[in-house]
Amino acid sequence: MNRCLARWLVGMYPRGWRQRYGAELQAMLEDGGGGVRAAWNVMTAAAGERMFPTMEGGMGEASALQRWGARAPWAVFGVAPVVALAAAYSVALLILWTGWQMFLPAEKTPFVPVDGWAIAYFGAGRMLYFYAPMVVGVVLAWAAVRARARFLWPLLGAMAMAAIDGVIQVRTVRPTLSEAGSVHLEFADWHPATSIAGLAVTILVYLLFRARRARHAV
Amino acid sequence: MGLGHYSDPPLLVLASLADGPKHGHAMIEDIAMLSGTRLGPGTLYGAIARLEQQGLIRPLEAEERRQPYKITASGIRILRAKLTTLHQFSKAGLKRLEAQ
Repeated sequence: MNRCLARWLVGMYPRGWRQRYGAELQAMLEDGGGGVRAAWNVMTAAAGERMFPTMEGGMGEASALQRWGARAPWAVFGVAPVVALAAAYSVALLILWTGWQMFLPAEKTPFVPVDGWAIAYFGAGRMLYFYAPMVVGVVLAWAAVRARARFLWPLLGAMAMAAIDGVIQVRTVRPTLSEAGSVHLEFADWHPATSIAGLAVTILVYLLFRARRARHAV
Repeated sequence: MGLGHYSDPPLLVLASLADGPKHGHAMIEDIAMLSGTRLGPGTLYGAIARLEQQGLIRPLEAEERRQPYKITASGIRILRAKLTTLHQFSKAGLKRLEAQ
């Protein structure tokens, strides 16, 4: 394999790992050839090493995530995901409101057909609003597996997010066109399917991460 | 229908080192011969890092650019236990097949 490519691939690993194994892996890649398949294998292994580090937590040392997860699991796996979800919803609402002011100043609601740049702008907000629970759920699952947390708090965090996802709804108000109008979230009728789907995705990802971690253990 | 080859990278690395120290390339070739599984370089080094962290293998003095590894006493113990379990499992499975 080309020396530059080998060095670039090894560079994908975390620094601690690279310092210990980087030189020998690079030498092996350079000497042993290996095409796209070997490069892909190293890339996925490096990504796995970044997600679930071997070096971290070795020799009896706990990672920061493990320490915080053990000290305050309610905060890390219960409150933090809900706060992250609230932050994502806030940004989505900000995009909706600013888009309304910029692209639809003569409309009483932003939920009307749009064209041009407005499609991308509102689309970004819509994606954030709809996919935030899933993204936060995946991060929660990853953090729970990486911190080797007990199942209870991550499950409660995921259930809280799923419940919020199932009841939350966007409302917009602009009584007269001379006003700027406002956007906000409110609790509406519960949609069980939305909550169950969100919770199922988080649990599935958690199980996949756990299986991956177990597969690499002896 | 192909069920693929047996693939448990850490166990394969331990088994490969059971008959003496080897460096990365030699392990890949040996494992391919032993199990029919050709480990990628990333997978191999992922397994090596984990095994070394757990004290089941240890590095020897480097030979130019190559780094040989040796199985430790704990590694031999774990390997023996794992292979015994697998052996019992395969014996029980084959016995059931024969009974059909």
